[in-house]
Amino acid sequence: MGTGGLDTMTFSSDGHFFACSINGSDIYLWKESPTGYILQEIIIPSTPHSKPLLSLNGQSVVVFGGQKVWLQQTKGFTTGPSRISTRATLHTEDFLVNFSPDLALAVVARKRDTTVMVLDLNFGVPWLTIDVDMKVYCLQVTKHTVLVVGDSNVIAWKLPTSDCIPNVMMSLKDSSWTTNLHDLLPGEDHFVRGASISPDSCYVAIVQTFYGTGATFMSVHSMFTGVGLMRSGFGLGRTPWFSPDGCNIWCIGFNGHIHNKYTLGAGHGLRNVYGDPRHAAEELLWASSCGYQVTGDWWVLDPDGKRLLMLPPPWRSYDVQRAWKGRFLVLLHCELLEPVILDLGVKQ
Amino acid sequence: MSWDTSTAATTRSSTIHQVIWSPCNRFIAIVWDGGRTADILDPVTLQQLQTHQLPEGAYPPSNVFIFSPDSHILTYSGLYGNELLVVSWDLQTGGTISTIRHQGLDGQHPNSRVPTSITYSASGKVVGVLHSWSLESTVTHKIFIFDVVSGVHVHSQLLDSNHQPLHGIWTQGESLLFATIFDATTTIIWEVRFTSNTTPVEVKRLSIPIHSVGYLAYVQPIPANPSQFLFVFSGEVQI
Repeated sequence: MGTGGLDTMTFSSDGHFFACSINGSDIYLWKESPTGYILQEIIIPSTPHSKPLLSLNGQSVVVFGGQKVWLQQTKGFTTGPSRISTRATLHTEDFLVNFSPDLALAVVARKRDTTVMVLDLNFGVPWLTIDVDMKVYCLQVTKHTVLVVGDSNVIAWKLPTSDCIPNVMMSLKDSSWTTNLHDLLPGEDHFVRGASISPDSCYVAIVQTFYGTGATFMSVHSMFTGVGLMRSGFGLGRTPWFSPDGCNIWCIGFNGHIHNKYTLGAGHGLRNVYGDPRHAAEELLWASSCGYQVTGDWWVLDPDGKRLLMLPPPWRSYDVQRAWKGRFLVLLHCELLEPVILDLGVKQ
Repeated sequence: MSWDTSTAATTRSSTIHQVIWSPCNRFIAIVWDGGRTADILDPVTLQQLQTHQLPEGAYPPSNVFIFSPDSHILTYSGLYGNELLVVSWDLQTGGTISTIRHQGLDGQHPNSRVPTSITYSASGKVVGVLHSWSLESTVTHKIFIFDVVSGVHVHSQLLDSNHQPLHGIWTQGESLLFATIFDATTTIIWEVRFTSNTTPVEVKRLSIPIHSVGYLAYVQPIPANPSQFLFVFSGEVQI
């Protein structure tokens, strides 16, 4: 599966090479080295959801997707005794982003990373960097505060005043308050999949998944007390997402394909109602509410249909790995070293 | 290491479900037509050498194809109504070696299956098939052993709740192996002999690497070095 974006893996029989497709998109070729596996090549197939298959001797790779099969040869291939000695790690986590209501600030972090950055969108510069000392699952920036959701708590940092020098550094000791989330699943045989903060900053939703079985639960907590107010049953989603009015929570699966929609009912009940997240693309920031769009041939169009720019190959991703907010387009896919924020309203 | 541009390409009139290299690297099999047809291709030109079709009534697409270790046989395993179907073709003559239909999928429903896994014994005469199906939220796993040369069912193992495979099965000599999760930190490797009908025997315990991200999706050995295992998590790969 896919496995959290890691869709297909294939090894040469001696283990010197392996290839994988990630997020149903690009194909990565890795080569063994004394320190682990090193990325050698990224293949961008012409057909989405293509899969690689290395020949057992590692000299060829077949890529197939849709109704087509390609054969590609490797060169410079040498064999030798296996030296697999260390682990190879692939970053398959996308970035998180949230905008302040006045669109003056954006807060970004790679999911499960421990560093959060607040950007000044007026000047396009980092304004604040926070070492949050926990894995980050959700972010929210308001006029005065940054909220960060970790494995079991929410921590807030007050923003520096606007006249401070850019790129202030902060850490856990600079935080303003912490809310510990109670009533999460007990034990250690599960992990946090994703989180979301309600637009009014009163609630936080957490999705937890059991190791092995993959069974998933979602709970909603008070931001002020951390008390669990409601919990869903078994589900397949992985990332919760409050709707802009705070009345619904989408539970989104990989690439937006698996989905539940929960309505926060009276008496703090969670009611699961079927919903197709594609029908709420603007709510989920997957589509622009201002009329901007990315076409199938990767042109970014303004609301009048005028071509603004063509996304270069490294910036191409699924719509669910992008976020639109006003005139801003944010590219969040995991292959990027840092998220890309495009201000489409800037006059050339 | 670099990649040349595509050296050959071929298309089919419907989605290609599976592609397999033969162990000798001299054939590629592509499975298409809703999983009903397997074409054998030349690995350099992708020219079609043979084509093999499933019998009428075979129920794709939760099926699998595999080459024998000597690359002489292509074997299919899937469903035929409520029976397990195993078909083997001789790639030297193009003819069918055996067609095995076997009952024993008690309570399975065609729409409730999860993917099948198949592996050849080192001798190339026997295959093990892990077939799984769900009924009322209970998943049942059963391993079947077939002699594809003589076309007979050898034995079966219904796996109890202590032997729920994490992923597929693989071969080590004349045994097939599979992994189960013992707890959050341990996976157990079990062995079933191709030739004797005994309950699975524990052969190894492996510590699941800590600091891993996501849940353990599957465990499998590195093909050239079965003593090394690949742990694939939902977000990370560790060896």
